[in-house]
Amino acid sequence: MEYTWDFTSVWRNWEVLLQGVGVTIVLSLASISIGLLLSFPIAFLRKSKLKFVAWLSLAFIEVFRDLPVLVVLVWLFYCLPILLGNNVRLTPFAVAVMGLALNFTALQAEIFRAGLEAIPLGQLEIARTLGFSRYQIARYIVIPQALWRTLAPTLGQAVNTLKLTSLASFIAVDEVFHVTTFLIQETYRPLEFYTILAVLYLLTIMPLSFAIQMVERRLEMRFGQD
Amino acid sequence: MDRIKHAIQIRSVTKRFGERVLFENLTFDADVGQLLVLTGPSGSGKTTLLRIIAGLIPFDGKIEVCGRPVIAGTPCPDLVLIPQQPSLWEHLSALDNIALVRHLLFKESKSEARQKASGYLEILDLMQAADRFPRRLSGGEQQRVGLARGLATERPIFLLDEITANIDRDRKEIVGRVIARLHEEGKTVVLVTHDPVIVKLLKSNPYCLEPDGLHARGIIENEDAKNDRQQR
Repeated sequence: MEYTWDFTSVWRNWEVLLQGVGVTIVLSLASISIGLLLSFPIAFLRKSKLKFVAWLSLAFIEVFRDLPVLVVLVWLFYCLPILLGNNVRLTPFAVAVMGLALNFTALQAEIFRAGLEAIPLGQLEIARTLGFSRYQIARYIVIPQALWRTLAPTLGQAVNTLKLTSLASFIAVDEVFHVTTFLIQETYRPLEFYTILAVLYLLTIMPLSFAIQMVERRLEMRFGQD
Repeated sequence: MDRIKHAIQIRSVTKRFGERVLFENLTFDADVGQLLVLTGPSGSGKTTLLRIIAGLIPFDGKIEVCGRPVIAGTPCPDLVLIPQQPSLWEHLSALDNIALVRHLLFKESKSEARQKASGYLEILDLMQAADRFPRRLSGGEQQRVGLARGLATERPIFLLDEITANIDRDRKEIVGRVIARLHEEGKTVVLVTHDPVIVKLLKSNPYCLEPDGLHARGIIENEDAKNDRQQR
Protein backbone atom coordinates (compact mmCIF):
# COMPACT_ATOMS: atom_id res chain seq x y z
CA MET A 1 0.00 0.00 0.00
CA GLU A 2 1.29 3.39 -0.94
CA TYR A 3 0.77 6.00 1.73
CA THR A 4 2.35 9.38 1.91
CA TRP A 5 2.96 10.42 5.47
CA ASP A 6 2.30 14.08 6.10
CA PHE A 7 2.83 15.41 9.61
CA THR A 8 2.20 19.04 8.70
CA SER A 9 -1.17 19.15 10.42
CA VAL A 10 0.36 17.48 13.50
CA TRP A 11 3.04 20.19 13.79
CA ARG A 12 0.41 22.86 13.26
CA ASN A 13 -1.63 21.54 16.17
CA TRP A 14 1.30 20.69 18.39
CA GLU A 15 0.26 23.03 21.18
CA VAL A 16 -3.28 21.62 21.28
CA LEU A 17 -1.86 18.10 21.56
CA LEU A 18 0.47 19.13 24.38
CA GLN A 19 -2.46 20.71 26.22
CA GLY A 20 -4.22 17.36 25.88
CA VAL A 21 -1.16 15.63 27.37
CA GLY A 22 -1.27 18.16 30.22
CA VAL A 23 -4.94 17.35 30.91
CA THR A 24 -4.13 13.61 30.81
CA ILE A 25 -1.35 14.08 33.37
CA VAL A 26 -3.42 16.31 35.68
CA LEU A 27 -6.36 13.91 35.44
CA SER A 28 -4.09 10.98 36.33
CA LEU A 29 -2.40 12.81 39.21
CA ALA A 30 -5.71 13.96 40.68
CA SER A 31 -7.28 10.48 40.45
CA ILE A 32 -4.18 8.74 41.83
CA SER A 33 -3.78 11.23 44.71
CA ILE A 34 -7.39 10.87 45.79
CA GLY A 35 -7.17 7.10 45.33
CA LEU A 36 -4.02 6.88 47.48
CA LEU A 37 -5.64 8.89 50.26
CA LEU A 38 -8.78 6.74 50.26
CA SER A 39 -7.26 3.32 49.66
CA PHE A 40 -5.16 3.08 52.83
CA PRO A 41 -8.08 3.63 55.24
CA ILE A 42 -10.25 1.28 53.18
CA ALA A 43 -7.53 -1.41 53.36
CA PHE A 44 -7.46 -0.98 57.16
CA LEU A 45 -11.27 -1.09 57.38
CA ARG A 46 -11.25 -4.28 55.31
CA LYS A 47 -9.38 -5.87 58.24
CA SER A 48 -11.68 -4.35 60.87
CA LYS A 49 -12.97 -6.61 63.65
CA LEU A 50 -16.38 -4.97 63.18
CA LYS A 51 -17.87 -7.27 60.58
CA PHE A 52 -20.24 -4.66 59.20
CA VAL A 53 -17.39 -2.21 58.58
CA ALA A 54 -15.23 -4.92 56.97
CA TRP A 55 -18.18 -5.96 54.81
CA LEU A 56 -18.85 -2.36 53.67
CA SER A 57 -15.21 -1.97 52.71
CA LEU A 58 -15.26 -5.27 50.83
CA ALA A 59 -18.48 -4.28 49.03
CA PHE A 60 -16.90 -1.00 47.90
CA ILE A 61 -13.80 -2.82 46.66
CA GLU A 62 -15.77 -5.48 44.79
CA VAL A 63 -18.12 -2.99 43.09
CA PHE A 64 -15.44 -0.64 41.79
CA ARG A 65 -12.90 -3.35 41.04
CA ASP A 66 -15.37 -5.38 38.99
CA LEU A 67 -17.20 -2.62 37.13
CA PRO A 68 -15.60 -1.50 33.85
CA VAL A 69 -14.25 2.04 34.28
CA LEU A 70 -16.20 3.17 31.21
CA VAL A 71 -19.47 2.04 32.79
CA VAL A 72 -18.62 3.94 35.99
CA LEU A 73 -17.76 7.10 34.05
CA VAL A 74 -20.88 6.99 31.93
CA TRP A 75 -23.09 6.25 34.96
CA LEU A 76 -21.56 9.11 36.97
CA PHE A 77 -21.86 11.48 34.02
CA TYR A 78 -25.40 10.70 32.91
CA CYS A 79 -27.19 9.15 35.89
CA LEU A 80 -25.70 10.84 38.95
CA PRO A 81 -26.80 14.40 38.02
CA ILE A 82 -30.38 13.15 37.54
CA LEU A 83 -30.32 11.48 40.96
CA LEU A 84 -28.75 14.52 42.62
CA GLY A 85 -31.19 16.96 41.05
CA ASN A 86 -30.71 19.83 38.64
CA ASN A 87 -28.84 22.05 41.13
CA VAL A 88 -25.75 19.87 41.03
CA ARG A 89 -23.57 20.32 37.98
CA LEU A 90 -20.53 18.15 37.59
CA THR A 91 -17.96 19.01 34.94
CA PRO A 92 -16.74 16.15 32.71
CA PHE A 93 -13.28 16.55 34.27
CA ALA A 94 -14.68 16.22 37.82
CA VAL A 95 -16.64 13.12 36.83
CA ALA A 96 -13.55 11.60 35.19
CA VAL A 97 -11.47 12.23 38.33
CA MET A 98 -14.19 10.67 40.45
CA GLY A 99 -14.58 7.57 38.26
CA LEU A 100 -10.87 6.93 37.86
CA ALA A 101 -10.24 7.58 41.56
CA LEU A 102 -12.94 5.07 42.56
CA ASN A 103 -11.36 2.41 40.35
CA PHE A 104 -7.85 3.21 41.59
CA THR A 105 -9.02 3.18 45.23
CA ALA A 106 -10.63 -0.25 44.93
CA LEU A 107 -7.61 -1.85 43.27
CA GLN A 108 -5.06 -0.04 45.44
CA ALA A 109 -6.89 -0.95 48.67
CA GLU A 110 -6.36 -4.61 47.80
CA ILE A 111 -2.67 -3.96 47.10
CA PHE A 112 -2.31 -2.25 50.48
CA ARG A 113 -4.23 -5.05 52.21
CA ALA A 114 -1.82 -7.60 50.75
CA GLY A 115 1.07 -5.38 51.92
CA LEU A 116 -0.34 -5.24 55.45
CA GLU A 117 -0.86 -9.00 55.56
CA ALA A 118 2.69 -9.63 54.34
CA ILE A 119 4.16 -8.16 57.54
CA PRO A 120 5.14 -11.13 59.74
CA LEU A 121 3.11 -11.24 62.96
CA GLY A 122 6.29 -11.78 65.00
CA GLN A 123 7.38 -8.23 64.19
CA LEU A 124 4.17 -6.83 65.65
CA GLU A 125 4.34 -9.13 68.67
CA ILE A 126 7.86 -7.92 69.49
CA ALA A 127 6.69 -4.32 69.23
CA ARG A 128 3.79 -5.04 71.60
CA THR A 129 6.03 -6.75 74.18
CA LEU A 130 8.34 -3.72 74.05
CA GLY A 131 5.35 -1.60 75.06
CA PHE A 132 4.86 0.31 71.79
CA SER A 133 1.38 1.82 71.55
CA ARG A 134 -1.00 0.86 68.74
CA TYR A 135 -0.35 4.23 67.15
CA GLN A 136 3.43 3.74 67.35
CA ILE A 137 3.18 0.26 65.85
CA ALA A 138 1.09 1.60 62.97
CA ARG A 139 3.23 4.73 62.47
CA TYR A 140 6.70 3.21 62.73
CA ILE A 141 6.29 -0.43 61.72
CA VAL A 142 3.10 -1.27 59.83
CA ILE A 143 2.56 1.72 57.53
CA PRO A 144 6.18 2.25 56.40
CA GLN A 145 6.60 -1.44 55.74
CA ALA A 146 3.30 -1.75 53.86
CA LEU A 147 4.23 1.28 51.76
CA TRP A 148 7.69 -0.10 50.95
CA ARG A 149 6.37 -3.53 50.10
CA THR A 150 3.64 -2.17 47.83
CA LEU A 151 5.60 0.58 46.12
CA ALA A 152 6.22 -1.32 42.87
CA PRO A 153 2.61 -2.53 42.41
CA THR A 154 1.36 0.94 43.37
CA LEU A 155 3.43 2.51 40.60
CA GLY A 156 2.12 -0.19 38.25
CA GLN A 157 -1.41 0.75 39.25
CA ALA A 158 -0.62 4.42 38.62
CA VAL A 159 0.55 3.56 35.09
CA ASN A 160 -2.67 1.62 34.58
CA THR A 161 -4.75 4.64 35.65
CA LEU A 162 -2.78 6.86 33.29
CA LYS A 163 -3.70 4.53 30.44
CA LEU A 164 -7.35 4.46 31.51
CA THR A 165 -7.63 8.26 31.23
CA SER A 166 -8.29 7.77 27.50
CA LEU A 167 -11.76 6.51 28.50
CA ALA A 168 -12.55 10.03 29.72
CA SER A 169 -12.85 11.00 26.06
CA PHE A 170 -16.28 9.28 26.12
CA ILE A 171 -17.56 12.01 28.43
CA ALA A 172 -15.82 14.78 26.48
CA VAL A 173 -12.85 15.48 28.73
CA ASP A 174 -10.18 17.25 26.66
CA GLU A 175 -7.44 14.78 27.43
CA VAL A 176 -4.98 13.78 24.73
CA PHE A 177 -7.06 10.96 23.18
CA HIS A 178 -10.14 13.17 22.89
CA VAL A 179 -8.11 16.05 21.46
CA THR A 180 -6.50 13.71 18.92
CA THR A 181 -9.87 12.34 17.80
CA PHE A 182 -11.12 15.90 17.35
CA LEU A 183 -8.03 16.88 15.33
CA ILE A 184 -8.41 13.82 13.10
CA GLN A 185 -11.97 14.87 12.28
CA GLU A 186 -10.65 18.33 11.40
CA THR A 187 -7.63 17.28 9.33
CA TYR A 188 -8.42 13.76 8.02
CA ARG A 189 -4.90 12.54 8.94
CA PRO A 190 -5.69 9.59 11.29
CA LEU A 191 -2.44 7.66 10.72
CA GLU A 192 -0.20 10.59 11.61
CA PHE A 193 -2.25 11.63 14.63
CA TYR A 194 -2.76 8.12 16.03
CA THR A 195 0.97 7.42 15.57
CA ILE A 196 1.90 10.61 17.40
CA LEU A 197 -0.69 9.77 20.07
CA ALA A 198 1.00 6.41 20.65
CA VAL A 199 4.41 8.13 20.88
CA LEU A 200 3.04 10.68 23.37
CA TYR A 201 1.60 7.92 25.58
CA LEU A 202 4.91 6.04 25.44
CA LEU A 203 6.89 9.17 26.36
CA THR A 204 4.58 9.79 29.31
CA ILE A 205 4.49 6.20 30.56
CA MET A 206 8.04 4.99 29.91
CA PRO A 207 9.69 7.13 32.63
CA LEU A 208 7.21 5.63 35.09
CA SER A 209 8.05 2.12 33.91
CA PHE A 210 11.77 2.83 34.42
CA ALA A 211 10.93 4.19 37.88
CA ILE A 212 9.15 0.90 38.67
CA GLN A 213 12.22 -1.07 37.64
CA MET A 214 14.44 1.14 39.82
CA VAL A 215 12.09 0.75 42.78
CA GLU A 216 12.06 -3.02 42.31
CA ARG A 217 15.87 -3.05 42.40
CA ARG A 218 15.88 -0.94 45.57
CA LEU A 219 13.30 -3.22 47.15
CA GLU A 220 15.34 -6.27 46.18
CA MET A 221 18.32 -4.70 47.97
CA ARG A 222 16.20 -4.00 51.04
CA PHE A 223 13.90 -6.99 51.31
CA GLY A 224 15.52 -9.58 49.04
CA GLN A 225 17.86 -12.23 50.36
CA ASP A 226 21.47 -12.76 49.32
CA MET B 1 11.90 -3.02 92.77
CA ASP B 2 14.46 -2.76 95.60
CA ARG B 3 12.09 -4.25 98.15
CA ILE B 4 10.89 -7.04 95.92
CA LYS B 5 12.80 -10.30 96.39
CA HIS B 6 11.27 -12.23 93.55
CA ALA B 7 11.48 -10.75 90.10
CA ILE B 8 9.21 -13.50 88.79
CA GLN B 9 6.79 -15.53 90.90
CA ILE B 10 5.06 -18.46 89.28
CA ARG B 11 2.29 -20.17 91.23
CA SER B 12 0.40 -23.26 90.12
CA VAL B 13 0.65 -22.42 86.46
CA THR B 14 -0.85 -24.93 84.06
CA LYS B 15 -0.76 -24.80 80.31
CA ARG B 16 -2.78 -27.08 78.06
CA PHE B 17 -3.03 -27.25 74.32
CA GLY B 18 -6.31 -29.10 73.82
CA GLU B 19 -5.98 -32.46 75.58
CA ARG B 20 -2.24 -32.16 75.92
CA VAL B 21 -0.91 -30.86 79.23
CA LEU B 22 2.38 -29.06 78.70
CA PHE B 23 3.00 -28.47 82.39
CA GLU B 24 0.79 -28.61 85.43
CA ASN B 25 0.87 -26.68 88.70
CA LEU B 26 4.25 -25.23 87.89
CA THR B 27 5.59 -23.23 90.82
CA PHE B 28 8.94 -21.50 91.07
CA ASP B 29 10.54 -18.10 91.65
CA ALA B 30 13.28 -16.20 89.93
CA ASP B 31 14.91 -13.84 92.41
CA VAL B 32 15.95 -10.34 91.53
CA GLY B 33 19.40 -10.59 89.93
CA GLN B 34 19.19 -14.36 89.42
CA LEU B 35 20.45 -16.06 86.32
CA LEU B 36 18.09 -18.96 85.73
CA VAL B 37 19.07 -21.34 82.95
CA LEU B 38 16.25 -23.55 81.71
CA THR B 39 16.63 -26.59 79.57
CA GLY B 40 14.47 -29.55 78.69
CA PRO B 41 13.52 -31.75 75.78
CA SER B 42 11.97 -30.23 72.66
CA GLY B 43 8.26 -29.67 73.15
CA SER B 44 8.55 -29.50 76.93
CA GLY B 45 7.16 -25.95 76.89
CA LYS B 46 10.21 -23.79 77.56
CA THR B 47 9.36 -21.26 74.85
CA THR B 48 5.68 -21.36 75.84
CA LEU B 49 6.66 -20.64 79.45
CA LEU B 50 8.65 -17.56 78.42
CA ARG B 51 5.76 -16.37 76.24
CA ILE B 52 3.37 -16.87 79.16
CA ILE B 53 5.61 -14.83 81.49
CA ALA B 54 5.80 -12.12 78.81
CA GLY B 55 2.00 -11.94 78.77
CA LEU B 56 1.65 -13.15 75.21
CA ILE B 57 -0.51 -16.23 75.73
CA PRO B 58 -3.23 -17.18 78.21
CA PHE B 59 -2.62 -19.64 81.07
CA ASP B 60 -4.18 -21.00 84.25
CA GLY B 61 -2.61 -20.02 87.55
CA LYS B 62 -0.90 -16.92 88.82
CA ILE B 63 2.26 -15.12 87.75
CA GLU B 64 3.69 -11.92 89.14
CA VAL B 65 6.52 -9.94 87.59
CA CYS B 66 8.07 -7.40 89.94
CA GLY B 67 4.97 -7.71 92.10
CA ARG B 68 2.56 -7.02 89.23
CA PRO B 69 0.21 -9.78 88.03
CA VAL B 70 0.75 -10.97 84.49
CA ILE B 71 -2.37 -10.70 82.34
CA ALA B 72 -2.33 -12.34 78.93
CA GLY B 73 -2.49 -9.72 76.19
CA THR B 74 -1.04 -6.98 78.36
CA PRO B 75 2.66 -6.26 77.86
CA CYS B 76 4.76 -6.14 81.00
CA PRO B 77 6.91 -3.00 81.29
CA ASP B 78 9.54 -4.70 83.46
CA LEU B 79 10.73 -7.39 81.09
CA VAL B 80 11.90 -7.96 77.59
CA LEU B 81 11.49 -11.20 75.66
CA ILE B 82 14.13 -12.00 73.07
CA PRO B 83 12.85 -14.91 70.98
CA GLN B 84 14.82 -17.44 68.95
CA GLN B 85 13.43 -15.89 65.77
CA PRO B 86 14.30 -12.26 66.43
CA SER B 87 11.63 -10.88 64.04
CA LEU B 88 13.60 -7.78 63.20
CA TRP B 89 11.66 -4.97 61.52
CA GLU B 90 12.55 -5.53 57.91
CA HIS B 91 12.22 -1.97 56.66
CA LEU B 92 14.87 -0.76 59.10
CA SER B 93 18.62 -1.33 59.11
CA ALA B 94 20.21 -3.21 62.01
CA LEU B 95 21.16 0.12 63.58
CA ASP B 96 17.68 1.60 63.16
CA ASN B 97 16.03 -1.51 64.63
CA ILE B 98 17.76 -0.63 67.89
CA ALA B 99 17.49 3.15 67.50
CA LEU B 100 13.69 2.91 67.15
CA VAL B 101 13.49 1.27 70.58
CA ARG B 102 15.57 4.06 72.12
CA HIS B 103 13.57 6.73 70.29
CA LEU B 104 10.17 5.41 71.37
CA LEU B 105 10.90 4.08 74.86
CA PHE B 106 13.31 6.78 76.05
CA LYS B 107 12.11 9.70 73.88
CA GLU B 108 15.66 10.17 72.63
CA SER B 109 16.19 12.28 69.52
CA LYS B 110 16.88 10.26 66.38
CA SER B 111 20.59 11.13 66.33
CA GLU B 112 21.00 10.37 70.03
CA ALA B 113 19.10 7.10 69.61
CA ARG B 114 21.34 6.05 66.70
CA GLN B 115 24.43 6.91 68.71
CA LYS B 116 23.26 4.74 71.60
CA ALA B 117 22.29 2.00 69.15
CA SER B 118 25.86 1.98 67.77
CA GLY B 119 27.09 1.27 71.27
CA TYR B 120 24.91 -1.83 71.56
CA LEU B 121 26.01 -3.05 68.14
CA GLU B 122 29.62 -2.58 69.15
CA ILE B 123 29.15 -4.68 72.28
CA LEU B 124 27.92 -7.54 70.12
CA ASP B 125 30.59 -7.12 67.41
CA LEU B 126 28.05 -5.99 64.83
CA MET B 127 29.36 -2.62 63.68
CA GLN B 128 30.03 -3.98 60.18
CA ALA B 129 26.34 -4.90 59.92
CA ALA B 130 24.95 -1.56 61.16
CA ASP B 131 23.60 -0.35 57.84
CA ARG B 132 22.45 -3.71 56.53
CA PHE B 133 18.77 -4.62 56.40
CA PRO B 134 17.60 -7.77 58.22
CA ARG B 135 17.25 -9.88 55.06
CA ARG B 136 20.92 -9.17 54.35
CA LEU B 137 22.04 -10.45 57.74
CA SER B 138 22.96 -14.05 58.52
CA GLY B 139 20.85 -15.96 61.05
CA GLY B 140 23.49 -15.44 63.73
CA GLU B 141 23.76 -11.72 63.00
CA GLN B 142 19.98 -11.39 63.18
CA GLN B 143 19.98 -13.08 66.58
CA ARG B 144 22.67 -10.75 67.87
CA VAL B 145 20.80 -7.68 66.56
CA GLY B 146 17.70 -9.04 68.33
CA LEU B 147 19.73 -9.28 71.54
CA ALA B 148 21.14 -5.76 71.04
CA ARG B 149 17.58 -4.48 70.55
CA GLY B 150 16.58 -6.17 73.80
CA LEU B 151 19.57 -4.69 75.67
CA ALA B 152 18.53 -1.24 74.44
CA THR B 153 15.34 -1.49 76.52
CA GLU B 154 17.41 -1.49 79.75
CA ARG B 155 14.64 -3.51 81.41
CA PRO B 156 15.31 -5.28 84.71
CA ILE B 157 14.24 -8.74 83.48
CA PHE B 158 15.47 -10.52 80.35
CA LEU B 159 13.77 -13.60 78.93
CA LEU B 160 16.15 -15.12 76.41
CA ASP B 161 14.96 -17.96 74.20
CA GLU B 162 17.66 -20.02 72.46
CA ILE B 163 19.46 -16.86 71.46
CA THR B 164 22.64 -18.64 70.44
CA ALA B 165 21.01 -21.24 68.20
CA ASN B 166 22.54 -19.87 64.98
CA ILE B 167 25.66 -18.24 66.37
CA ASP B 168 29.22 -19.46 65.81
CA ARG B 169 31.45 -20.37 68.73
CA ASP B 170 33.48 -17.13 68.86
CA ARG B 171 30.37 -15.00 68.86
CA LYS B 172 28.77 -17.29 71.46
CA GLU B 173 31.51 -16.20 73.82
CA ILE B 174 30.58 -12.56 73.18
CA VAL B 175 26.91 -13.34 73.86
CA GLY B 176 27.92 -15.30 76.98
CA ARG B 177 29.89 -12.30 78.26
CA VAL B 178 26.91 -10.01 77.61
CA ILE B 179 24.60 -12.29 79.60
CA ALA B 180 27.16 -12.54 82.40
CA ARG B 181 27.38 -8.76 82.48
CA LEU B 182 23.61 -8.43 82.72
CA HIS B 183 23.76 -10.80 85.69
CA GLU B 184 26.56 -8.77 87.30
CA GLU B 185 24.53 -5.60 86.83
CA GLY B 186 21.76 -7.15 88.90
CA LYS B 187 19.38 -7.91 86.05
CA THR B 188 17.22 -11.01 86.26
CA VAL B 189 17.87 -13.34 83.35
CA VAL B 190 15.85 -16.40 82.40
CA LEU B 191 17.73 -18.18 79.65
CA VAL B 192 16.28 -21.08 77.72
CA THR B 193 19.07 -22.96 75.98
CA HIS B 194 20.30 -26.32 74.78
CA ASP B 195 23.73 -24.91 74.19
CA PRO B 196 26.44 -26.50 76.37
CA VAL B 197 28.94 -23.82 75.33
CA ILE B 198 26.84 -21.01 76.73
CA VAL B 199 26.00 -22.97 79.91
CA LYS B 200 29.68 -23.61 80.48
CA LEU B 201 30.55 -19.99 79.84
CA LEU B 202 27.97 -18.83 82.36
CA LYS B 203 29.10 -21.43 84.94
CA SER B 204 25.48 -21.98 85.73
CA ASN B 205 23.63 -25.12 86.69
CA PRO B 206 20.65 -25.48 84.43
CA TYR B 207 17.18 -26.50 85.49
CA CYS B 208 15.15 -28.87 83.43
CA LEU B 209 11.51 -28.03 82.71
CA GLU B 210 9.38 -31.11 83.12
CA PRO B 211 5.59 -31.45 83.27
CA ASP B 212 5.62 -31.44 87.08
CA GLY B 213 8.08 -28.61 87.57
CA LEU B 214 11.71 -27.53 87.42
CA HIS B 215 14.42 -30.01 88.28
CA ALA B 216 18.06 -29.24 88.92
CA ARG B 217 20.26 -30.77 86.27
CA GLY B 218 23.99 -31.14 85.81
CA ILE B 219 26.05 -29.62 83.03
CA ILE B 220 24.44 -30.21 79.66
CA GLU B 221 26.36 -32.77 77.74
CA ASN B 222 27.52 -31.66 74.34
CA GLU B 223 25.13 -33.23 71.80
CA ASP B 224 28.01 -34.30 69.53
CA ALA B 225 29.86 -35.93 72.40
CA LYS B 226 26.68 -37.67 73.47
CA ASN B 227 26.09 -39.02 69.97
CA ASP B 228 29.72 -40.21 69.74
CA ARG B 229 29.40 -41.98 73.06
CA GLN B 230 26.15 -43.65 72.06
CA GLN B 231 27.63 -44.82 68.76
CA ARG B 232 30.60 -46.32 70.55
